[in-house]
Amino acid sequence: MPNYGVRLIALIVVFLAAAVSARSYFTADSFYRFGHYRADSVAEIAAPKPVHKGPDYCQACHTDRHTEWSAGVHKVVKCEVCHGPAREHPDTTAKLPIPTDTVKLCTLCHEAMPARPAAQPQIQVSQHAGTEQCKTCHNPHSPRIGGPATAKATAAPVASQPLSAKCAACHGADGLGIGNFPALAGQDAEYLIKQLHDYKSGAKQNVMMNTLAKSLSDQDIADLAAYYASLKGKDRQVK
Amino acid sequence: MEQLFHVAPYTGYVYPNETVIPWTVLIAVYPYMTGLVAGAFTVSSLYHVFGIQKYKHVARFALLTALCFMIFVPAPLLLHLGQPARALNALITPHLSSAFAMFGFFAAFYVCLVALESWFAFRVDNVARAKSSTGVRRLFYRAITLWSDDVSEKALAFDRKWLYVLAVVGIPGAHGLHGYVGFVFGSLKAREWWGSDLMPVIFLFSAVISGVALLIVLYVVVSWIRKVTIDQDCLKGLTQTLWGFLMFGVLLEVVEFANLFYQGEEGIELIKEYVTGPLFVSYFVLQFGIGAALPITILTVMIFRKTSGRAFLVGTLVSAGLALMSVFMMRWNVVIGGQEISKTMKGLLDYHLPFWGREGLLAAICVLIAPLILLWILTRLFPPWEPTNQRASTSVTEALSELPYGTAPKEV
Amino acid sequence: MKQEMSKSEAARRGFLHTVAKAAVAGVALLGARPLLGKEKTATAKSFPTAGYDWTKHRWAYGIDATRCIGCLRCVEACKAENGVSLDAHHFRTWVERYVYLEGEDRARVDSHSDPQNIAASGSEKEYRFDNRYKNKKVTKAFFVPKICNHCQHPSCVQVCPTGATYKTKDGAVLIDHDYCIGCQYCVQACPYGARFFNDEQGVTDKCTWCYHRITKGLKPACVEVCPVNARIFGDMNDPDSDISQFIRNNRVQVLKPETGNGPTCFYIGIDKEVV
Repeated sequence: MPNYGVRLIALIVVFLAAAVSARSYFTADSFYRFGHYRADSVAEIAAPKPVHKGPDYCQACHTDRHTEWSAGVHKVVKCEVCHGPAREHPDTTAKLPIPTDTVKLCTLCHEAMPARPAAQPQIQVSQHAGTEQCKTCHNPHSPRIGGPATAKATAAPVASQPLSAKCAACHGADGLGIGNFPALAGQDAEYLIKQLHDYKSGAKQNVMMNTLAKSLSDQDIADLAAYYASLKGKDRQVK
Repeated sequence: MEQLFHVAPYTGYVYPNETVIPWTVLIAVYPYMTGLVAGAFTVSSLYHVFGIQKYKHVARFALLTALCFMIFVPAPLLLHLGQPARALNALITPHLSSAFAMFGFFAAFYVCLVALESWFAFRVDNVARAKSSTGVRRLFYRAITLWSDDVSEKALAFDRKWLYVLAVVGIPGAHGLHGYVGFVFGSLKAREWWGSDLMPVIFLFSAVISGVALLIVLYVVVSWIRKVTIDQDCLKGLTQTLWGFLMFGVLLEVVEFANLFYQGEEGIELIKEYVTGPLFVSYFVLQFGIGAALPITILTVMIFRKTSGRAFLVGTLVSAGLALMSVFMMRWNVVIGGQEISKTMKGLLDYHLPFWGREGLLAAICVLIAPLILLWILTRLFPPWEPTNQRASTSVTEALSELPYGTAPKEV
Repeated sequence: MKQEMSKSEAARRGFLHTVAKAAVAGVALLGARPLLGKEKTATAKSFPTAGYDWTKHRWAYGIDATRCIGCLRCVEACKAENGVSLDAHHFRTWVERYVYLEGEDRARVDSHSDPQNIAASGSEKEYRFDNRYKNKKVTKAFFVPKICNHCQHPSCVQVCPTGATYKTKDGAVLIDHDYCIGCQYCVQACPYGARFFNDEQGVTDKCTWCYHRITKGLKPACVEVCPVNARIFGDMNDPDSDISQFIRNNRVQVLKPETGNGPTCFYIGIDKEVV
C-alpha cells in the first residue's frame, strides 16, 4: 500500500473514532432507559402544577357560593369555566374575573343552534330577552327560575331587585312593552291576575311565562298586577 | 405582535392545525439538490465505472459538481429546522424507523464517499501542483495530498482501483440517498398525494434527469467561459442519456398519476379539482408540458434527424434548461402540492411564498447558487479538465504545461 | 537511496499500523460503552413521580358526539392549562361542526378556526361557533370534538428522526420539547392533523392528555370542564372506570381505522362524513 494509503486510513479511523466517541459523549444520560427517547422528559412533562384546580379547591373559601351552585342545575358547569382557571389564586393570582357580558358568555352554551342536541336548554336570543343581560333574571350559579337556590341566593343580583325587575326585562322598565312583548302598564289589574294564574297553572302556554309565573306566589301576582295597573299606559285609539 | 408564522388561506374544510403549512419551498429545494447530486454522480460513474470514454471530459467535473451540491444539501434543512442547533440529535440518537434519520446517515456517508473519490481522482494533479507551487499554495497542495508525492505505477494502480471501488459503491449510495428522499414522501399514508410505492423510483429518475441536465448546462456554459471547444461526442452522449431518462421518468409519473385516478379512493374528487384548478399551470403546463413534452420532442427530433453543430447545441441547451425547471416543478408540486390538499380531503389551502425570511424565495435562491460558487472555487483549485486524448495519470507534465499554475515541474 | 527510503518507510508504516490498531480498539470500546453504562442506571428509578406507577395504567379517551353542544369551553381550558398559543391556528383539541342542509348529501363542515367564526367570537383568543345556519333548513347537524388519538402504532413516533416523540408505558404519546429539532415530519405524518409547530419554541406540540394532571389522579382539563359529559377519560385497566364502561356499553368506533394506527380515542355518535 502506498504511504498516502496508510495516512488516509489513519485519517478515516481517527474521524470514525471521533464520531463514535462524540456520539457517546453527546447522548443524553437517560436516553434508551425506557425506549428510544430521553427518559427524563417523562418526569419533566408530568411535573408542572395543574392550572385548573376544580370546584373542590374553590369550596375551601367560597363555601356558600359552592353550596348554592352544587344544589342547582349549573353544577355541571365548573367554576373555572366561567371565571377562568384558578392558577395560584389567591396566593399570586389576583381576583378571578367575574364575567360582565353574560349575553356573550351564556349564549356560548345556550344559544339555539341547529347542531346543538335538543337536550341542551337553548334559546333564540332575540326572542328571549333581546339585549338584556342574562343575569338580570338568572342567577348564574343556580340559573333555573323557581329553582331550589333562587330563594336562598345571598348576594345574587336578582334577590335585591324588586319583583318587577324580572318582568321589566321583556316588558320594558316602564311596562310599555318591547317588540313582541306586550305592554303591561295601565292594564286592568284583574286581567293581569288572571293571565298570571293561567300561566302558572299551565292553562296558557308559554315556555318563559310558565316558568316565571310558577315562581310567583299568589301575593306576588296580586302585587305585580296592582303595580302595573297603576302605571301610565299607552294612549289607546278608540275604535 | 407580528406573527411568527404564515397563515394559509383555504377553501372548504381543513383541520385547524393545517392552516400553517409546515414544509416550505426549502423542502422542495432539498430533494432538488440531492437529485442533482445523484444525477451528476451517475454521469461521473458512466466513465469511472462503465468506462464509457466519451464522458471522460466531464467525469471529474461531474464529480466536483456532485460534491459541491452535496456539501450544501444540509443548508435548506438547517434553515428550515425549528431547532437547527440540535440537528445532530438525528445522528446521535437516530430513530431507525425514520426516513429522515436514515437519510442523515446516508448523507454523511455519501458526502465522505464523494469527497474521497474526488481526492483519488485529483491526487496526481495535486501532487504535481504541490511540486510546482510555492508558499501558501504549496502548503495547501501538500496538505491535500497528505504530504505524499508517490506517483509510481503501484500508486497509480492503487488510485485506479479505489477510484473504481468508490464509484461502484457510490452508485447505490447516490441512489439510496435520493431514494430515501423519495421514501420520505412515499411512505406517508397521511397524504394521498404523497403515499405511493412509486414515489422513490420517480424521485430517482427525475434526479438523474436533473443531474444530467445540469451537467449539460454547466458544461456548455463553462466551455464557453473557458473558450474551449465542446466535445461533440460527450455532449451527444449526455443528450441521449437525458432523453432516455426523460422518457422513462415521464412514463413513471404518468403511470403514478393514472393509477391514483384509476383507483379513485376517497378524496379523489378533491384531487381532481385541485389538479385541474390551482395546480394546473405548475403541473400540466410547466412540469409536463413545456418541462417534459417539449424537451422530449426537441430531443427526439434532433436525434432522429442527427442534428449537429450550433442547432444541436441550442436544442440541447434549451431542453436541458427546461428539464431542470421541470424537475424543480416536480419537487414543488409534490411538496407544496401535497400540503395544499388538506388531510380532511374536504379542503384546499393556498401556499404563499414570501420573498424575505429564513424560508423565503431569496433564501432558496441563495441556497441553490451557493454550490455553484463553491464549484467555481473548486474548479480553480482542482481543474478537472482532462487534456485531450490523455489520462492525467500518465502524462502529468504534458497536461500541466497547459495549466496557468507556476512552471512545469521536473519529471517525477 | 531506495533502501533507506524503504526502511524508514517500513518503520513509519509499522508505527502507523500500530496506531491504527489501537484506534480501532479504542473505537470499539467507546462504541460499547453506551450499551454497558446505560443498563446500570435502568433499574435505579422506574418512574420519577412519587406515587404514580405508569405500568399500572392504560389510559384511553372517549368522545360522545351526540352530547357535544359546541360550547368550546374545552378548547379554551386546554389552551389555559397547557399554555398553547392564543391564536386560531394552533390547537391541541378542537371541535368540528357538521351540518346537512335540506337537499344536500354532503355535510358542510366548519371549525372555530374558520374566519367567520373568529369574527363571531371577536378575537383569535376566544372561540365560538357562529349561528350561520339559523335561518336555513337543516336536516341533520352535530358537533364532533377532536383530539390527538394517542395511537397504539403512532405514525408520528415512527417518523421522528431523533426519538423526541414517543409512547409512554401508560399509553400517552408525548413530545420531548428539549430534544425535538423541529423538522415537522411528525406534523406531516399524523393522519388526524393533531400536531402543530410551536413557533416560539421551535418545536412541535400536541395534546398530552394533560399528562401533568393524569399522573396526579386528575382528569385532563378538557374532560374536567365539559358541562355535558361529551368527553370521557379513564384507565382501561380498571373495569369500572368511565372509559371502560363507555367502551363496554356502546358501539364505539375510531377515526380513520384504515391507517392501522390503532387510535385509543373512541367515538360514539359520529357519521359517515366525519373526517
